[in-house]
Formats: sequence, structure tokens, C-alpha cells
Amino acid sequence: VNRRTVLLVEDDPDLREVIAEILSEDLFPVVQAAQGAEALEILRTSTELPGMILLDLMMPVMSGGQFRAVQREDPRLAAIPVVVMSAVTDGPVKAAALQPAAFLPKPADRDEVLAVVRRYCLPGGAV
Amino acid sequence: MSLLGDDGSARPDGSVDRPAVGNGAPRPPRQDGDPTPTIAIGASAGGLEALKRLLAALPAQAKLAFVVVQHLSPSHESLLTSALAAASPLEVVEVRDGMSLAAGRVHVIPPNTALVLEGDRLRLHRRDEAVRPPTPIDTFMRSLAAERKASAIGVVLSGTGSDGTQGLKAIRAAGGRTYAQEPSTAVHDGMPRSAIAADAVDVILPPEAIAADLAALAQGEPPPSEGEIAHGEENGAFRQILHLLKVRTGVDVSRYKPTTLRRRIARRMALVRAVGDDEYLRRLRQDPAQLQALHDDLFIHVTSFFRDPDVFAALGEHVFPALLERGTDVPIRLWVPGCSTGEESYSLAIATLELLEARGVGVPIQIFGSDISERAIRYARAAEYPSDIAEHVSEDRLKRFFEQTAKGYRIARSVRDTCVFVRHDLTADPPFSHVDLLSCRNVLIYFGAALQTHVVPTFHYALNEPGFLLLGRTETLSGFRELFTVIDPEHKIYARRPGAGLVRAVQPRAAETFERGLAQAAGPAARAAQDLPGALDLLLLSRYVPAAVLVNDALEIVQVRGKTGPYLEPAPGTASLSLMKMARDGLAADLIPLVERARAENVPVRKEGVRLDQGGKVSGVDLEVAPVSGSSLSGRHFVVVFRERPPSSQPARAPSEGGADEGSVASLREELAATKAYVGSVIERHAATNQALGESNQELQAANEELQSANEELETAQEELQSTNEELTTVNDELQARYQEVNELGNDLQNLVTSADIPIVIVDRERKVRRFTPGARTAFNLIPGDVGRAIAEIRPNVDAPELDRWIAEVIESTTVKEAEVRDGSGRWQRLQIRPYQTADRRIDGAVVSLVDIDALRAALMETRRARDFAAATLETVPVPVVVLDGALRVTSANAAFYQVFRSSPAATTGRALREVERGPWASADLARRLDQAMDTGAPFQDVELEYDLAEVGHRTVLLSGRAIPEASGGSRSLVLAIQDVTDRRRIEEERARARSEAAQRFLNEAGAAMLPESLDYHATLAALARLVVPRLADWCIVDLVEPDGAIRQAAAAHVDPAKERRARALRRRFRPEAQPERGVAWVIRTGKPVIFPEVNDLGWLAGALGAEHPELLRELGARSYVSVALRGRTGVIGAISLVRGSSDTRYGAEDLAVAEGLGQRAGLAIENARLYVSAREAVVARDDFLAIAAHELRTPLSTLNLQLQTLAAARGAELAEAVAAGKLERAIKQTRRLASLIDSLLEVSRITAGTLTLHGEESDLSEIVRDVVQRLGPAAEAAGCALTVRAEEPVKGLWDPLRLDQVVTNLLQNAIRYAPGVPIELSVEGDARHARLSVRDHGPGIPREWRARIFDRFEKRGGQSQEGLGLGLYIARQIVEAHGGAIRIESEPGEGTRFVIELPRERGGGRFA
Repeated sequence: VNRRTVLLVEDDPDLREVIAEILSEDLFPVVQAAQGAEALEILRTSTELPGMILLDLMMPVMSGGQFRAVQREDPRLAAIPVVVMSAVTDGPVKAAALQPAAFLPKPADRDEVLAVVRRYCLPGGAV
Repeated sequence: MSLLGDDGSARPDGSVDRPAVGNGAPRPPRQDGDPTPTIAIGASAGGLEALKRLLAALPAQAKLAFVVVQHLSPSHESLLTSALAAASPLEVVEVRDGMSLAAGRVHVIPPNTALVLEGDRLRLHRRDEAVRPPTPIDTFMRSLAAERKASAIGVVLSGTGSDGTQGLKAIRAAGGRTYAQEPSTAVHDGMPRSAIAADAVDVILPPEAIAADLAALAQGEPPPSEGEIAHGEENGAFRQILHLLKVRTGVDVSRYKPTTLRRRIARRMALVRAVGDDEYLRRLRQDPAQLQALHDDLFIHVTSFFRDPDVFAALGEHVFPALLERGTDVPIRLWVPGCSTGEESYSLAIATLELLEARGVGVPIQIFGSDISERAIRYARAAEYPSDIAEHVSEDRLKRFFEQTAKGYRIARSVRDTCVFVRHDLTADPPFSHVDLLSCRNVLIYFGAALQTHVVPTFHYALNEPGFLLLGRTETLSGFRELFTVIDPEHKIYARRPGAGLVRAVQPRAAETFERGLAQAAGPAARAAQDLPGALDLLLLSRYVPAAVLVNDALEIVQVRGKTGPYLEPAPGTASLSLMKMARDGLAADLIPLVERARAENVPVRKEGVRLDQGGKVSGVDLEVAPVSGSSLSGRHFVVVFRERPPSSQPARAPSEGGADEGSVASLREELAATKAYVGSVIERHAATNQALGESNQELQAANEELQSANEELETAQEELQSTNEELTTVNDELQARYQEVNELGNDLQNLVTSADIPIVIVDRERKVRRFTPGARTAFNLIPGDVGRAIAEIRPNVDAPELDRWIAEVIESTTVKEAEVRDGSGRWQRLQIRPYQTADRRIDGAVVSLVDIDALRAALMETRRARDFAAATLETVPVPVVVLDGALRVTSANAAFYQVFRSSPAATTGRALREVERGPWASADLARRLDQAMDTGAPFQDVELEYDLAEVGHRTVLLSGRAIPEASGGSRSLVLAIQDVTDRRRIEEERARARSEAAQRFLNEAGAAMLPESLDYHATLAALARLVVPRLADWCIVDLVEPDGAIRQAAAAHVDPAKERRARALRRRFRPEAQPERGVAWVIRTGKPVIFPEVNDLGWLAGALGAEHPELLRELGARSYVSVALRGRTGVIGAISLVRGSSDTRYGAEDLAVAEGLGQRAGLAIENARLYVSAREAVVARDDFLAIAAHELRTPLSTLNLQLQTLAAARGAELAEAVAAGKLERAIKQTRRLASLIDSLLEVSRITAGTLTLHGEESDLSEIVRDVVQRLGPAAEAAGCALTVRAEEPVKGLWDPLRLDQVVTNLLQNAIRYAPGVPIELSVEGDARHARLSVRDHGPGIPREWRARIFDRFEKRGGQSQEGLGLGLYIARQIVEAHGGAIRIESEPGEGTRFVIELPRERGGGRFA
């Protein structure tokens, strides 16, 4: 069915689990990371790059912002679309600074999550 | 070399004997016939003490007569006698003229007298005042020496100067004994030192020891009398002494006159207390120093400068012209044998130099001084002499040829260079040669006739042709007419006769010199011509004459001719020229009888064929002895001729052997017989000779005695002459002193007149000019030629036409006339004419003087002008002035006074001031001030008074007063000036009001200026600083108190923008807190202002401002300083310091008021700003809290939402029961999370609101921990954390158990959350006061930078949480602290983390309900 992998970077295990469940039910392969550094590790060690990265902002060890900065500097990874999701009150403003492909405010709706994922991880779904 | 004479002695080595006192054997008692032993004691400054010491130490029964000669003031009665009487056991009397000396009595010289001894009587003479300094000690000691000879004793004690030195010399020369006080014991050591230096002292002791020595002496043996000496036997010991001297010192005195020797030896013996010659001899043998002392005493040197001055004149007359005829290119050579300490040599040198200079010829001179005494020679070379040589040397010569030294005089180098001194024994050493003048005064008198016979030819040899010999007064050359002719019999000058003179073969050493002299003599042609016959003779003698010798009566070889080697040879042992000793073996036996025969028969005798054995070779010789006599030979002489027999004529007795023996025996017998005969004749002849010698000796002794008495007579005559001379000298000196006085008087007058620069003319009775001062030349138009002209003829330069008449009046009336006249240049002069009064009050003319009084008159005029000026000024000034007298009555007042006070003189003058109406005069304050000013003379200024005057209304005046010092005889007065300041006061008040309004405006303005910016207090402070500069300050700084109390500079401004930066950087290291008592720190601490209108000490200000360098303040400018507090509602929050630097204005009270107003407003503005800031910070914190809370809430909300939506999406589909249950479970979990979060938020909210309360009860921390562990055990297990708990022991305290449960839960949850998979250890422990809980994980640890903030709100481990609000630790801390406990964290990255809470077990400081 040719769905591309989603790299899910979220520090809250409950939230990460439920999003992964939603995406899995929709048959998207999901790779999870608890924070930015872990995500970078996964990206750099995997031969196939994910179709997109679903990125939380406030995380321990390496925040979403820090991750995004590194990722944009890496030519191999720079092209991967990044969707930022955040519970921060001024999330859209902070996210805009990272120039994400899209922004998902928390609490997010299941359909919104799926819509965003489908846009980048379905063949022809990409804009 | 010379021996002791009768005119004094000098021993240059200063050696002194210190005999032990009382070492002698019992002595025979003194016979009554002897004169009393008399001791002259001389003393001067400091002498009284020494005298007392000496006299006190004497035994009361001392059989000695003392004469004390002390320098006394001529004009005061002497207390010396009584002073000494108190100290001495002996009787002490003051000398009366003619008083006899008495044993056991001390005779004290009265003041102002000269004391001498005549016979046994003391004679007093008027002191010769011309002799300066007076020398009474010398005078008396000389007389004592003359009277008592060897029994005279002299003592010199403490004193300055050199009196006594000559006296001691005289005593010593007479054979007496001399003492000097040990200088170190003397108060003034001048006199003892002088005497010691002059070698006039035998014994040097402290006064007490002198006394002891004298006492011992009194019991001892008297010194031998002259008669004893003259007739003393020349016993064996005496000869042995001479022998010892010869052997040890090399000086043979055996041919010196024995009398002299005897006297010297006796003196030495007396000094060392030797009894008898034998004992003395023994001492000499044992003690080389004694022998040396004797040697030195024998050759005591008596000499002085220019001895017999007329001799030197005679030399100039007779000798030098002849010497100078020879030409000036050859140096003049002088020889002074026996030169002693060099005085004669130097005298001759000086005389010669003077003479040559007078004649203007530059001939070099060489003077040889020789003496047997090495010490004398050293002294002579040193050329330093005591100051008393001035007696003999004229002042001119002293100046020209001497240098003054500390001790006396030193011969000038120019003179010293001409003199050479060598040690030389005239009787033994070869003489000098080519001498032009030989001065040998008073030397020959000490030689025996034989020695003279030897020495005089030596002189002849030494002298050049022409050459001269100078002898002493009493010496003659009667026996040597063939060698010398008399030139000046009176002065004993002899000229050398031409000729070779006697050949001095007697002296081997001299002979060598003689030969050398001959060889050198080949030089001058004249000399060669003279010696030609002699040379011829020598040639013939040496070539053709048989070996021969000339012997004298004692058979000593005098001359040798031909080769005498085969017949004579030097004998072993002491070198001898005795023919008998030198004759070779065999010859003597034949020679002696021959010579005896020739002597007896007085004909030539001969013996032929004498056998001579020369080292085995036997030869024959013919001997011939012929008596020789001639005018030039003294005594009989014999020529002994040796003729060698030809070998062929040898007698034929050699061949037969037996005959030879017999011949030998016969020959030996013959020899023996001859020798016997010779010995017999010799013995006989010696006996005869001895007898003859004894007789002639006695004759000579008698002659000597006669001569001695004649000499003494001559000496007496000389002394008389000398005293006459001294008298004349005294008169001369007196006249000279008078002349000096007159001269000084003249000089004084001259200087007085010249320095006074007053024109003075002295006229005589005839009014003729007698004398005038230099100043009078211009004033009176006088020239030096005017002396003697009548004053009327002079046209003086002053307007005094009546001068002549005035002078006449003055002389007539003997009154003083004065007039003020003008001189040519219009200056005023006071002309004064006084009668000229002589010493006998006779009027002998008049003295006219002029004194310039122009300046005086000018000053007078000036004073008058000043007075008028002052009066005019007073009247003119618009200021009222009133003058008060001592009783504060009005003396006068000026016009302004009357005008201002609408008063009149009548109502004022003469009244007491306080009674004057119309004015503030009754004021008590004024009265007090006036009294004070009058009493102390201190002025007062600006005393403010007010008064009302009907016409003019209310007035304010300032009064200033000054006392005028009383004039002579007058009383003090006081000037009072009144200044109306009513108008000025009004203006000042208006100005003050204006200023105050301006200040108020400024403050309002400042308030307004600070307002718009008041939300940012830094901006407020900057605005404040800008506002102040330059209106209120040239620069200013604003300081604020930090929450911790530190003072921090918050703003600064400077009128010069370039300096503003420096003003900001005022402090680098220093802080105002360092000076808590001054400036900013003080203002902030006390809230009181500081004002320094005039800052003088920049260092002080630097401390006040907390500035680093005073220098910095100088750059910024600092003259006036004020600092006030910035006040907020709650107190002082800072200070503002204002400084004026460049401008001239100083801070005053008004500025301070403005500054304080400013401080008030600025403080409030700052406080407002701060409040605003903290309010805004609170808002920001609240917003942050809300944002984080929202974020934290949204995360579980997202999860819940997505979970529920998943469920909803699956609504239509079949969902497995388990899946659905899991999803629901998770959803429910999220709601729990949400609820927990909301609880935490509420908790924080409570804590922030301060409504957290504790419910304390007895709790066990271990139990709480165990509960929590049990509750969270599953979670820990799920996270893989093994829990280790050590909380067995109950640790109890008064705590809120629910809250502590919350804390422990938080900490454990935290550990599980951040350190999953690694062990966690919990432990509880407690001591008496505290309970402690430790939670340790082994996780990644916490970086240092986070540790500090980890207990704050919204801070989470690692900066961002996985879960939760980050409030747990914050809440834990709040709870622990509410219990009065503390929480801390220990962690290193990679090492895990340990949280420790500590709780007090008692309820202390906790916030319990």
C-alpha cells in the first residue's frame, strides 16, 4: 500500500503511545523517539528516511527546536517534512520560527493528525 | 755630641725612670749642716686639686721644705694658703719677703709676685707684668737650681701652658731631680706634657706617688756634692761601668773628662737609688735599659737656637765673605759635630740663608749635623721644637723659617732641606771632608786632652782651604797653633792653616778615609800645588827607601814606608798597631832592646843579622832604630828601619847540627835576657809615667776648678745682663702694649666715625678745622688740605651763615647749640655744636655734627597728613561713625551719624553712649561687646541691632567696633561704625523668597521629570542625575542600597560629558562602606544629610564617596559637597551626592534643602518604579505559570482527547473487549493525571498565597518513609529501580505527617522518574535535635547550573520535564522550610543525585497552625 514511515518524536509516553496507535491503525509505519537526540540517532542509522517527522517542542535532552536546527543543517535530512505539535500557549509563533511543514496544536484531533500524516506519507499525498 | 752643661738639658727620647719607692737599705740620717732639701711645686689651672692630693699624701714629719708656686690672679686675694693648710698635715704659710725656708713647711707664693730663692731665703719681687704669660714657676725653679744644684727638686703639676718646663730643665741640668704629674691624672695636662715633651722630667707619677717618692727621698742619702764628685776615686767599679758602656753601646768614653762622667753616673745612681758603684754596676749589667738610660744621660744634649747670637754676627763678618770669594757655584758645606738635637745646625742654616739673601747671592748650602746619639739625630731630623724656643728665636725668624704646629714649631722645609743628620762618633768615625765651616761648640770641653789631640787634627783634615772652625766660648785651640790660626778670639773663630797637617794613622778607619780624601784632593789646582812636595816625597819613599815605620813613644806605628810585610804582620785578636804585637816572630825580641836603647841614649842604634824565620825560610835582617823629633810631633818618635841582608852574607852557622842546637839555645837565652831587660825598663818607665801623670792630673784638676769658678762668675755676670735685658724687654713690651692700646683706640674711633657716616668737624679753640670725618667733606665742602683753616673761611654746604659765630658761642658758653638747617639739596639737617672737652675737662674747641633729619621731618609731615586725611575721611563717608573714650563716652561723631540718627553734636558729644537718645544704644548686647572690645582690644563686627525712629521707622543696623590702642599716657578709645542694613535686609529677604520659590519650582519640575519615566527606575535615576547637573551640581552620583545592604552606584552625571564616564567609574575596588562614618555610607545608615561647603581634603571626600583616588576627584573637580538620603516609604533606599567643582558657588543651607526635597521625591519615584517592576515581574511569573500549567494540562488532555476519539472512531466497528478496555483505562489515567496536576497547582497557589499551614503532631519519619515506599513500590519496580530503605529506627518529631508524606513521595517519584533502571536508596536517621532523610539515585545527575534553581517553581530536572509541572521540588522545599528545616541537593553529572532533608525535632520556627 506504499505508505511511508512516520518518525514520531514525543516525550510524553501516554501521548506518544496513543498517536502511534492511531497511525498504526491507519497502517502508517511509526518509528518512536522520546526526544530529539534519540530521533537524530534513528535518522542517522536508518537507510530509509521517514516520510515525515511529527515533532513535539518541549522535550528533555534535546528539544524540538534544537532537533529541527540540526536536521535543517543536515543535507540528507533537511528535505524531510517536519510537522510541529505543541501544547505551548504561543505554539504557532514558536513553531513558525522552525519553519515547519505544518503545525498541530495540542490537544489535537485524531483527524487532524491523520490528515497531516496522510498528506506527507501517502504516495501523491505530498503537496 | 755634647755632655750636660750648666745651662739646661734636653733629653729627646723622653725616657723616664720609675723607681720603686723605699727600696733602699737604711740610710744614714741627714746631717744638720746640710741645707734643707727644697721642693719647688709649680701648678696652674686645676693645680689646687693636684696640690691637695700631693700635700695630703705627705707624712707630717717630712723633713722637706716645699715651695708652692701657683699661677694666681694678680688682683684677688689668694685663698690658696688656707685651702692647702686644710689639706696638708704640714704647716702651710704664705711667703713673706726674706722668709727662711723651713723643713716640714709648705711655702706658698702670694699673688702678683715673683718668688726666688737667694741662699736660704725666699725673696719676693714685684711680678714683671710685661712677661706674658707670666712664668713664676720657671723663675723660682731656676733660682732653686742655681742655689741648690743637685739637691734641687722640682715638681710640675696640673696646668695649662708651658710654665715650669724651663725651670725643670734648669733643675735637671744642675743635677737635681724633676717630677711631673702623670698627665692622665691632671685636670689640665698642658704643663706636665710640655715638661715631659721637653725631656725635663725624671719621674712621672700621680700626685700621691710623687709625695711618697719625695718622702722616701727625704729619708734617703743626699746626692753627692760637687766636691765629692770632683775628688771621687776612679775605682774599679767606675772603670768597669765605662767598660760596660763601651762593650754594650760601642761608645768609648774612657778618654772623656772623668769629672763629668762621675757626675752623670752619680745622678743616675741617685735616681735609681743605687747604693754604691758596685750595686749600680750590677744593675747596669742586669738591665740593658738602665745602661741605655746612662748612655742617654751621658750624652745629654744642651743646645738652643742661636746660642750666643753675636757669634752668628761674627760668622757673617769673618767667615762668609771669605767663603763667598771662592765663587758661587760651589756649595758651602758646614759640619756641626755634636749637633745634638739639631738647633745649632738649623741656626747656622738660618743664619747662612739670611746672610746669603742679604747679599743677594744664591749659593747652595749643605749642613751636616752629626752626633753620637741616635735619639738626638732622630729628634733633629724630625725638626719639631716646643714653643718655648720663641725665647731664642726672633719673631721674624719664626715666621720665615718655622711652621707653627700644634705642639710648637717645625723647621720650614726650605731650611730642613739644607740639613743632613747622621749618627757619627767624632772620636772614632772618619770625618766629613771638604767642609767650609765646622761648628763644634761646647764639645771639646768634655774631652780629655788626649781625645782633643786626636779630634782637632781631624777637624783640620775635614776643612777646605779656606776653612773655618767655630768653637765654644770656653774652648781654645792653644795646643794646635800649627793647624789653626785665630781669627776672632772673642767668638772663638779659627781658620785652617794650609798644609797636610798630622797624618792620622792612629785611627785605622780614619786612615782609609784619609786616603780617599787624598785621592779626591787631586781636584783643585791650588791644593795640588801645595801637596806637590809631599807627593814627591811619597814617591821617593815608596820606591827607594827601605822598609821603615815611624812609631811613637808607646811604640805604636804612626807611619809606614816601604814594604814592611816581611817584618810586620797584624797580630791576632783586637786590631793593634803596636809594633811589638805586629813584629813577626823573632823580631820583637831584637826590636825591643833596640828601641829601649835608642830611647835611653837618644841616638840611632843598629843590630845586624837578626834571624828571621818566614815559613821555614830563614833570612837575615838588619834593624835600625833612630829617635825622631820635630815641631809637628808631639812626644818622642822613633824610626825603625828594616834592611834585608843579601843571602850570601848569611852567617855560616847553619851547617853544623849540634852547633845549630847550641846556637839556638844561645840565641834564645840572648832573647830571654833581652826581654827581661826590656820588661824591667818598661816597668820602671811606667811607674815614672804614672807618677808624672798623677801630678799633671792634679794640676789639671785644680786648673779645672779654677776655670769652673771663673765660669760661674761669668755666668753670674751673664745672668745680670740677662735680667737687665729682660727688664728692658719688659719695658719695651709695656710700651708696645700701650701703643697697641692707642692704636686700637684710634681704630675704634675711626671705625665708629666711618660707620656712623655722620659729618663731624672738630675745630680747635681758634675755630680752625682740626679733624673731620669723610662725611663732612661734602656737607662742609672740606678737603683734606683744609685742616688748620679757620672754619669761617669754609663755605659749608648747609645753610648756616652763622656757623662761625655759633661755634664761638659754644666754646665760650660750653653749652650745646642745635639748629635745623637745609643743605644744598634742600634736605633738612640738624646741626649740632658741642664743646670739645679733653680728658681733664678743658674746653679745647668744638665738635660740629650734622644729622640728616629729612626723613624724620618727612615722617612728621606724613603723619599730619594722615591725621587730616583720617578726619576728612570720617567726615566724608556716609557711614555713621562715633568715637568713644575709655569710659564709653562719645568723644566725637561724624556728620553721617547726626544725619542718620537725626541728632546733633550737642545731644551726643560728651554723653555716655548708652544715654544717647535716638538709636539702639541702650542695647545690653552692645554694651557687653563694647566692654569686651575695650578690655581685650579685640574688634567686633556686624552686631545686629534694631531700633525705631519716629521719622524713619523701623531700622536694622550692623555695628562694628575696634579699639584704638592707647597712645602714650592716653587711654584706650574705640571707634564704632554703624551700617544701616534695613534696605539690604529687605532685598535679601526678597531674594531668599525668590530662591525658595525657584527651588520649589525646581523640585516640582524634578518630580514631573521623574514621573514619566518612573516605571523604569534606572531611567528615573538617570533623569534625576541629568536634572541635577548643572542646575544643582557640576556632577553627581546616585547610590542605591541593594537588598543585601551593599551600596551600589546607580547613576552618575557630569556637566562635562567627557568626564561623565569617569564619574560612573568612580569606584573600582573601593566602596563607601569602607568609610561607614562619612559620606554616602553615613547618609544611608543614618538618613541624615552631609554638607561640606568647602572641601579641603580630597582624601576625605574620596572616602566619603567611596572613590578610588583623590586624584580622580581632582579631575572631576571637587570643591563643595552635599549628600542626602533617597527616602522611600519604608526608609532610606540610597543617597544622592552632589559635587560642585569648577564654579565658585558653595553649597549652603538652601541647596541642602533643595537636595533633601529632591532626595525625598527621587526616593519615592524610585520606590514606585521598583514596586512597579516587582508587580510586573509578578505578572510575568503568573503568565508563565499559566502558560506552563496550560501546557502541562494540554498534554494529558491531548492524550485523553485522542484516546476518546479513537474510541469514537471505532464506535461502528467491532472492538475487542480487551482493546476497548485498554483504551478506556488509558483515558481514565489521563483524567487522574489531570486531577493530580490541578491539585499541585492549587498547592502552589496556596503556598504563593502564604496560606500553607502545618498541623503538627508526634510523627515518625521512618514510618512515613516506609509508607511511601510501600505505596510507590510497584511503580519503582515497573521502572526497574531496586529500592533500598534504611528506616528501621523510629525517628520522631513534631511534624505534619501528611505534608512530609507529600515531600517523601515527591522525592521518590522524582528519583524513579529521572533515574529509571538504577537502584534508589532511602535512609532515615536522627540525632537529638534533627531528623535527616536522604534519597539517593544513581541516575545521570544534575549539572551545576541547574542545581541552584531546581527548587524554584516551574523548574524541572533537565530543564524540561517528561511529565508534571516541575512543581514537586518547589512544593517539597516549601513544606520542609515551613517545618523550619532545610533541603539540599548533592549531585554530579554521571554520579547520581542525593536529596537530603533535615528537620528540627522540636517545633522551632515552623509555620504550624
